[in-house]
Amino acid sequence: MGEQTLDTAAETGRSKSRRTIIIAAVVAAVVLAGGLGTWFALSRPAGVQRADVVRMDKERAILDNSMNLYDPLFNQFSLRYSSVMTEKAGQQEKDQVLNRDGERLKRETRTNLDRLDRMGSSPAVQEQEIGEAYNRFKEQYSAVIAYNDQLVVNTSNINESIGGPCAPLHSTLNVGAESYSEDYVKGADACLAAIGTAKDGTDAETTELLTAVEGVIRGQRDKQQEVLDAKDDLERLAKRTLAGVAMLDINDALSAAQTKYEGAAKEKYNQLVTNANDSNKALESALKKRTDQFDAAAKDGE
Amino acid sequence: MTHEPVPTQQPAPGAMPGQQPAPKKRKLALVLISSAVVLVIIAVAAVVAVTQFSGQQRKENLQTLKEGHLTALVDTRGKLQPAANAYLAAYKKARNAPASQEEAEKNSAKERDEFQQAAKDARAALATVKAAHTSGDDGIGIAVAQLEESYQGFVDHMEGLVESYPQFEGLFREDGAGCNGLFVGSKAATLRERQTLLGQAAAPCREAVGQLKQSKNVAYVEFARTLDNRIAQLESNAEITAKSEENYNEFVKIKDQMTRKVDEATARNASEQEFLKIADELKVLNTRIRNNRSEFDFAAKRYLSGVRDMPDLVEEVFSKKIAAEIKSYDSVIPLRVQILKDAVDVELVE
Repeated sequence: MGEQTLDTAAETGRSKSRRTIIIAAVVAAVVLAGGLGTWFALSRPAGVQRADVVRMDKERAILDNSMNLYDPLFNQFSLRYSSVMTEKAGQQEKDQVLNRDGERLKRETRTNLDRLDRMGSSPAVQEQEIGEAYNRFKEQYSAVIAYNDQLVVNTSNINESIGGPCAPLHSTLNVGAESYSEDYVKGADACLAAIGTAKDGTDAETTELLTAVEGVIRGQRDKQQEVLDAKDDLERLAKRTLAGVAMLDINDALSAAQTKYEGAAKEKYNQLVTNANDSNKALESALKKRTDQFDAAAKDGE
Repeated sequence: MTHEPVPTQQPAPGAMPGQQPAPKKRKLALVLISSAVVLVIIAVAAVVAVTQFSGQQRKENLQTLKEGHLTALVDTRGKLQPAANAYLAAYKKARNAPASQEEAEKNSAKERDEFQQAAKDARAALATVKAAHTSGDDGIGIAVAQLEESYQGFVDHMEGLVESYPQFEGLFREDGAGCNGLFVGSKAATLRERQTLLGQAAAPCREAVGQLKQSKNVAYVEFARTLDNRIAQLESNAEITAKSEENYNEFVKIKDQMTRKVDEATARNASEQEFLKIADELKVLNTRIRNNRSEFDFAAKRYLSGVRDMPDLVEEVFSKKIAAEIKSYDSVIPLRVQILKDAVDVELVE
């Protein structure tokens, strides 16, 4: 170090300028190298690129395809769930269906929402037309996703009530048996309690279905209770006959409620799908228009 | 610009060797500095080259994933179902020859090996796809994980279908689980005898059904669960009808007693009170007969429909349940593949 200080003192003008050149060269080299590195690392100019638009269109296609997965996955879940319920397979098997098939649907939803968000982080949405189309797309697809999410809840709740404690009421009880009224009232009370719980978290249509079934069962239950409350044999016979006659209507009432529910649910879903398809087409054509513009500009540039 | 300082400096140390000690040192410093600069430039160039190269490599890998590995995956999947069908047909044919379960398994070993090879290939193809992309949380990683789950489910399903087939197929065979013994039919003279025969057949049958519940194939498991419940219902209804028949015979005896009682009371001109008492007894008996009858009818109807529906239940395992499972995978897996391809494309866009 000390020697260097001596050198500096003895420096001539020529070597001074030479040192400046060297320093300048070093600085220039470092700057150039750094710049080169940065250029390679980023190597993309500012603003929306054609690649952003193409990429977003691919992401759009991924989401659109993902929506088609709900149907088969949901059917699988629903079939397995109802099999477990009708065959009274036990809590462990039920949990397995819920954890495997039910969770799969939930995961599906989380993934799709993430994908929607990721699309939103594309530079392409900065452009007004694409941005607006994307917002509509996001809104409509989120609605389809939310519907499918809700469908899992609805199905579970229907299975736990109508498919659960309510199921044996009209299939395994012996109408001719002495204890029928008693059995019915007991079963109906369990069914009504399950329906009460099931209404928690269901959408309007499903709640309506559950309420309709609840009404039918409650009516029957009360008639059977009257049989039990009858003071003598003759009254009991009369009440029992009445309750039996009323039972004839129950299938119509239940199937009417079910048909109405299925119709309403279908209509709702069809509407959502139509809207989603429209928004998908709009976004697709906005993106296509932009890529076409890029292609045209590239041609002009040649 | 960058290269200029290097050549201008390099002759400098050589041009003035040992002239002055101080400039010599300075020249040494200059040499060091300039070599450092050269090193920096080389390093940057190397980094750039490596980045470029690995970018190129990555692009090629993705391209291979999309076109090579995924195509192989789809191909191996396509071979699984025909291989499974070939095995099922071979096994069934061997069993009908006729042959015992073991013999039939031996005689269909070739088809079984071929299926197992197909399943192994399918799993290997999946492993290759997975290995082609290791990061799990980007778009491709998520698409790979989703595909993996569905694909794995399909292979498991097919494997379970093949592995548990001898068990399923043997359920209703006399030299198998003997569930066909449930169809007692006209072999029994009384309903009690029917109940006994049914119970004898049900024990080994339900044990085999219990084993089928452990299958890897959901369709078999669901079927086994339903069958088990149906057999339990059959047993319970057989018991009710047998009991009702016994009750009925009892009622006939009581009826004869009552007839004698009435005759005797008439003969000795019994009091009205006594007749009223007999009438009350008869009323109670009538109620018991009616209830017995109602229980019998209910149980008998269920017993018959239980027996009648059982062949359909078996038939539907393949015609409905397995068909539905396969249909589900057939719609899910191609979509998963397409989504993965699109996810790769997102990365490949330039």
